[in-house]
Amino acid sequence: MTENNKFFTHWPTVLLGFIVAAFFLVAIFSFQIDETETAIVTTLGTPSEEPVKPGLHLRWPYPIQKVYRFDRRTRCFSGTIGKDGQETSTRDSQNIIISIFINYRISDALKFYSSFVTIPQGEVQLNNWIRGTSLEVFGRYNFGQLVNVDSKKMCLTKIQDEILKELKVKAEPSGIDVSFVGINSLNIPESISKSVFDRMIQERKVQAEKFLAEGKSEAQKIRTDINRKRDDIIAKATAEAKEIRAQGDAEAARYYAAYKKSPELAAFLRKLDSLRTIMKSKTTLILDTDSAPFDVFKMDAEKLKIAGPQKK
Amino acid sequence: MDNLNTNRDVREQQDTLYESGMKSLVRSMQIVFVFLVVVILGMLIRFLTLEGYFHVQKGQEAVVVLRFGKYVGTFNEGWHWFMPYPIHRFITFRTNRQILPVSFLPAKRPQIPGQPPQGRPLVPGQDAYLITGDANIIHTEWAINYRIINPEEYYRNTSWPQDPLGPDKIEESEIPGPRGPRTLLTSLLHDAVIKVTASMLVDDILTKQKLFYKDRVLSLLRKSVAEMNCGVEIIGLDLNNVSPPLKTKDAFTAVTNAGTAASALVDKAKEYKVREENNVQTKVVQIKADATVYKTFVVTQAKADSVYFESIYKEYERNPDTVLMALYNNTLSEVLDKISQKYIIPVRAQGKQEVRIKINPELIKQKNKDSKEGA
Repeated sequence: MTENNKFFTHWPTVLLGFIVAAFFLVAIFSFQIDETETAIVTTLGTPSEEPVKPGLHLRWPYPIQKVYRFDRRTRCFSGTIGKDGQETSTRDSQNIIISIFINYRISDALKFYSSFVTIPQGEVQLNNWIRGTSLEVFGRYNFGQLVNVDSKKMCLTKIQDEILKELKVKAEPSGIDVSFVGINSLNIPESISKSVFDRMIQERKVQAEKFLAEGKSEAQKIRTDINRKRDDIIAKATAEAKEIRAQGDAEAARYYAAYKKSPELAAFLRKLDSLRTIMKSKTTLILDTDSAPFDVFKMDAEKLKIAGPQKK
Repeated sequence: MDNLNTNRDVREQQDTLYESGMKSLVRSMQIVFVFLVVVILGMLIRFLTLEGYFHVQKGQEAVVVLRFGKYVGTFNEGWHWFMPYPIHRFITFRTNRQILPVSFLPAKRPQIPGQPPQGRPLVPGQDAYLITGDANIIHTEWAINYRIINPEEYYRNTSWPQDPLGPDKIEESEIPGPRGPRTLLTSLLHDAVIKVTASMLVDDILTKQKLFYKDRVLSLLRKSVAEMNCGVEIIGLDLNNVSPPLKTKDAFTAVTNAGTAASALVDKAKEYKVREENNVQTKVVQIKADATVYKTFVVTQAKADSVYFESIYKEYERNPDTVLMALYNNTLSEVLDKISQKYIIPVRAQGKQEVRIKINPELIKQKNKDSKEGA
């Protein structure tokens, strides 16, 4: 059997060997960079002039060439002050504990590599910048500019913008783009929180009393208003009633014109009417015998003859 | 000679045994080799076919495909096949609603059994809380509802973890901690909540403007997230709890009670107002009705009196004394008839006399009657 014949007889084995070898060669002499990454290739320690773009690239194996990969996605980083916060003083000497975070990405891999080599080392520097800058900027403002119901006096956004601006200036030469600065916590020291509680309790007491006083006052106002309104309405109704009564009296007076014929008789009749009206069953009446018709009780015989019926 | 023959036979026998052993070994090796080839080919076939397939559940997930690390496309539904790794890579992201709880609560500490939890000063770094615009302290609990609406942006711009469906990776560097998208959303919410809380009054947040407070935070959070270009949409934000610190809770409850008591007073006054309004209307109607009745009565009475007078007057003109006497006596008898207690006292000649009369005898009678019934 010749050599050629042997090759063709065992071609699957040879092909398999080629494939496996190809895999190993590709794995050793190439590398992939994702869209989310950027990289620097160093050749015997000298970095490439341009960062490597995403895709498949060839390289010499280590130690000739070495690939430094950097994640270029936005990273939310709060540093060491993100854990417990950092105590600082405001311009009016109020102690506060702040914790801020930043969003950053590696915008220039070459500058970043030249400055820090690795991301953890870069973050150590970034952490120092965050601490220093936030202390400095918060120290320019009063406590009343951090918390305030008046939007014109509230400066938290302004503070963040200032920190962002200063961090950008510091980080940009190192290939870091800081895109956002936010506040993770804004606290006060433990000892102050106790006094805040006492103040809150005191304020609530005042507020509770105020609520009660306001409630009482409003209730009293409602009652007074309605009483006044009621009195007004009744007064008006009474006036109207008086007018109606006056109309009635005036109308009645027209009929009294007839009494002019004999005022004495009219007065007498009115008196009799009054008697009928006044005298009720439960009245106790005391009269003397001078009053008619009881004067008959004291008449003597002579008078009786005159007063009594005459015998014919 | 015999010995020579015997030795040759033995050698031949040994050669035969060796040859047959070698043959068996070669056959075994051949079988193993064929088996290995079959296994490798099987793995190759599986690798080139099944490894490149993936299925995307519509509305639940999206798959980002990369070719040698370069973005190829995003697939939101159906079956797809690409040459597998290392040529292509498939990254699956969840696109359905996800909930991220965020709280500003004090750390839980052991309690004394049988006793209600006691409030105590808050320790920064352990206890989370918020400072309001009037420098008071509150605690809140939130839940962010979000989803990935642009997987490509999410893939490119957020530091998603190795397992995109899992929690953010905690980086074990000199400054340990997460850097991923959930951390980003949590931090953005922190920022929004702190800013909004620091601009509002504690009472507004705790009571009447709770909804407004939540809406302001949501609005600010949406704005911040949109600026991040991270492919995430904030569907909603739940404010699950907002409360004062435990130590001040009784004071706040007292305020609520005072408010309720004040409202009760006002409600009672309003009730009185309605009642009085109704009463006064009734009274007005009554007053006017009485006046009208009076008017009618007076006029009718005057008319009747006038007619009566006219009729009496005719007779009176003719015989005044008789008419007057008759009228007087008639009236007196009519009136006196109704009166039960009448006393006629004779007039003494001297003009002075003492008369003692027990008035209101009915009261005495009634008293006697009551005492009898009591006995």
